[in-house]
Amino acid sequence: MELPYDIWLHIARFLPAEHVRRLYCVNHAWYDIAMDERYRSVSFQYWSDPETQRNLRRLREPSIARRVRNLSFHPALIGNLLVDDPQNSAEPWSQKFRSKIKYLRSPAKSVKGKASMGGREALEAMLQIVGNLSNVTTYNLEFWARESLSALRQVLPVLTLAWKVFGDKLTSLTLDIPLDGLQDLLHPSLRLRRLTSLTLRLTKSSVATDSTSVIRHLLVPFVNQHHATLTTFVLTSFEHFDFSAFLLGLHHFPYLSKLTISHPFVSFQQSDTLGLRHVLAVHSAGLRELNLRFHTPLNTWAQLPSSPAWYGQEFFGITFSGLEVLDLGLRDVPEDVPWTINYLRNFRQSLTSLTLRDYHFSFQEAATVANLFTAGFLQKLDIAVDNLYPQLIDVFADRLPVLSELYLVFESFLPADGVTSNESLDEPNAAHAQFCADMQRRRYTNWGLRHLTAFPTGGCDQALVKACETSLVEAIPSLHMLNGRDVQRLGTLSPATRSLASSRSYLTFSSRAASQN
Amino acid sequence: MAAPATQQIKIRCNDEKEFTVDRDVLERSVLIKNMLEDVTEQQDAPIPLPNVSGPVMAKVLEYCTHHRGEPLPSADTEQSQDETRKRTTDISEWDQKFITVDQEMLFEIILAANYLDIKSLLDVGCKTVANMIKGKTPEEIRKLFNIVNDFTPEEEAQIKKENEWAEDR
Repeated sequence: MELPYDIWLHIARFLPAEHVRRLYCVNHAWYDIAMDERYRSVSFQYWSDPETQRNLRRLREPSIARRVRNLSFHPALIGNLLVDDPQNSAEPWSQKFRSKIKYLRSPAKSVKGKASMGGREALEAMLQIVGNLSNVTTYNLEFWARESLSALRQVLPVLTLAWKVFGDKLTSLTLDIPLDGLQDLLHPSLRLRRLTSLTLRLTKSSVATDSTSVIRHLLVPFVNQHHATLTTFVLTSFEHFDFSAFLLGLHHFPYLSKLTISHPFVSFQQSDTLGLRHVLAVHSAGLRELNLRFHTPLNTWAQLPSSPAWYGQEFFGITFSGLEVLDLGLRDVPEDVPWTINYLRNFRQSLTSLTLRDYHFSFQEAATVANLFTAGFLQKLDIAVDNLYPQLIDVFADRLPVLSELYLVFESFLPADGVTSNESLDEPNAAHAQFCADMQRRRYTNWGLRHLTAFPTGGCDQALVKACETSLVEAIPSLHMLNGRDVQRLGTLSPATRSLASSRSYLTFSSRAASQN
Repeated sequence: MAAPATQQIKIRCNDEKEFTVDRDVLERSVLIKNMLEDVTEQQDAPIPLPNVSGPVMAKVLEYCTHHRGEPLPSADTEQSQDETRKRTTDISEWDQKFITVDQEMLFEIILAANYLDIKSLLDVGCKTVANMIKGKTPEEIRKLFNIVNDFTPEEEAQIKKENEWAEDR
């Protein structure tokens, strides 16, 4: 009984690196599988990064370079060398700098030990490597806006070669490059025939750059070139750009199923959402995943609208028949929970994953959200709540029976009677202890929850936080992972912690809590 | 929505074994789902599945019936696949029991899941094989899967050396 090569490769992806390493020696076929997995993803980021250094050495061998599928490249790595190249300046070539690029020297030259090295040689080496990367399908390019654009221009030969070598194989591209740099890198007619996923993070280096012109005349045509293949489009920025013009210019992408728009809001005048309305309306039937985020821009004054004006915007009226994954990030914009819940009502039958991170829901509000999806298929919920009460777990377990992953952001673990009392939290330790005691009386045997992240942001005794975690593990028998760790490694509550948790001396949070027991 | 869930579909395996199955159960297979979408009229002839045998199909249908109604996973991005790697051991209790079969059946299920395009089942199978490989020496892996070591001693020494060099940080 044999499995085909591609399936073995898929199996290898579930193995941690130290186990992949053991496969090299099995036989020739497994050597190939292990090497393909080992070099599937490579990055060229910083000189100090050992991974980058090793890749620069190893990938000059074509037999290894052709194994690479995912490439991350930070052009400043080489660009900064070229900008500072001694052949371009009168500065002496320091010994320290020499050691930085020793790995790039070919063996022949290192024997001779002659000069003629530096940025030029680094560029040559990178050209040689990129020339062999014939199977790259995922390409991430990252260049910080504060770096000198001339460093990017120096590396253009590498970047241009990359389009030629693997442009037609690319299925996924991420461009985190300042708009002013994209002008050199992209051509409006550049078309990557198989591109299905495109991520653009907009920045700019110079305030003088006419960003709207670059968006209209370069980026919009470039994105539209891929209208027939794109299934995923991500457009994000922390600075304010004319997103509306960008989105209004986009065609209909018949296969688009995932859309992410993350955009600063300044004012209705400057950040109109007509473009967003257009792109959502055109794709409403096909979208499966939508991530919408608004935030106030860095270092810019924002004029936030009133709640009715904000929620009266047309794009909020668009419904999606098949939306499965929704991530709604409305940071800094008017908070209106009844409205948010009303909006979510549109998706109660279709959503399998919901993320609501930026507003801290009260117990009652979170319960209302859970109620909405009680007849649905919600498998993953990521929600910020003010505090975690035992009753909140009761509600989730009762209303969301098919939930498999739950991510909770909250301030503190609070005991059951905290839901009704409005007393301020004077004794966080007592509250945690009482939470444990309340959880120890609960057991959700019919719930299938597998992953739980519940980490309080407020300060508290670590031993008590651990006790709270353990009480959750004991109450939810289906749990596999808690806070990113395998529950079997967490162990059970040690007798010392258990007595600490139930110690009466901590139970000063509320007299009613004690009397209920 | 597609046709009502009560619609029954007939399939025929490569050993002539036939099954009559609820449409929504069969549609866990993206291959069959696409086939059914292409057919507009009610068809009485069974769908031929030349790459799957009756006993394997029975197992696959057991899986599909248990997971009916669950949303189909969308095509994975690189990132989420790297996430899954960290969750190697994470197979649900029911799936774990379901996939506790002999190696031949395990491989047959993986091949069928691959052919029928049932991604979640393919992953359950592949994770199970990965768990079998974990922690084993090369010699133990050879024994486990009946693999012949086709390296000469020189080649093996060379690989060990190269490998050490490659992993040298």
